[in-house]
Amino acid sequence: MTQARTFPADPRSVSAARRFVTEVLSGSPPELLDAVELMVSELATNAVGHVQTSFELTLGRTAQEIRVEVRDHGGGTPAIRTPGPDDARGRGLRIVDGLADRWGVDYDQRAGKTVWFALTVPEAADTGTEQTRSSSDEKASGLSSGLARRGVR
Amino acid sequence: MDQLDAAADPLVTVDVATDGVGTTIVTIAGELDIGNIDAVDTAVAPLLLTRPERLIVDVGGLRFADSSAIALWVRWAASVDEFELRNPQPLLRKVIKMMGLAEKMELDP
Repeated sequence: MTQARTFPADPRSVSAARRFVTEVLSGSPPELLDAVELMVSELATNAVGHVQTSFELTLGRTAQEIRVEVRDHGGGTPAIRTPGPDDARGRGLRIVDGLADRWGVDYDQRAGKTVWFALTVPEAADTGTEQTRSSSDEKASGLSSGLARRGVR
Repeated sequence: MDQLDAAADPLVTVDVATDGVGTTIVTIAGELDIGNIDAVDTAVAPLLLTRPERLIVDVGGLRFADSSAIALWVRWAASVDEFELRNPQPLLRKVIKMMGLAEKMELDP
């Protein structure tokens, strides 16, 4: 499943991009969804705040991972900065670096760049019990992870 | 408690209370990002001009905050003697620790 939407160069696009994330990725594990929402907010802020361009947000989800791309039309090279405790700015990409499993920047021939990140979706078996993990019966595994989500062990 | 007009922005509400002996509590609820950070800053600025000794920012009702919000709090913290960020959501707490700001924000361990 992949969905994309373009947002205008406007500060209000940052919250609109978060809405898009929660709509498209609804049903994902809440911790994952919160992290994606935050990282999208950071990258969208970089686009509309620093380089002041519109941006295209692409969200992809498979059983294994959530992959997000933010393509903007501005120049510049994203860099992780190391602000001290008293510095007000410069933390956006560090947050992405800290929360994403993988991330990177792709440059193309035209003006613009794509910052992407990916998060691995925890395997269903990881939320089950030891017994389930050793079982190869898919039905049992699915049932167990369903119960685990409801807090039953 | 006064509800500040910062909240002309539909995503956020800001309330302030002062104990009269140097502590000001700013309660922020909703969502904070680059789209409303200036409005919130403008609303709270007059309070900071009174130089409270201690500023408590209660974010228990703040559903979302990104680095724009963290940048705002770092600036606020610089204008008071003591600063405390109270009741952050788990992800915000994690990010603040990750940024090495737990001590500055007086987060509980």
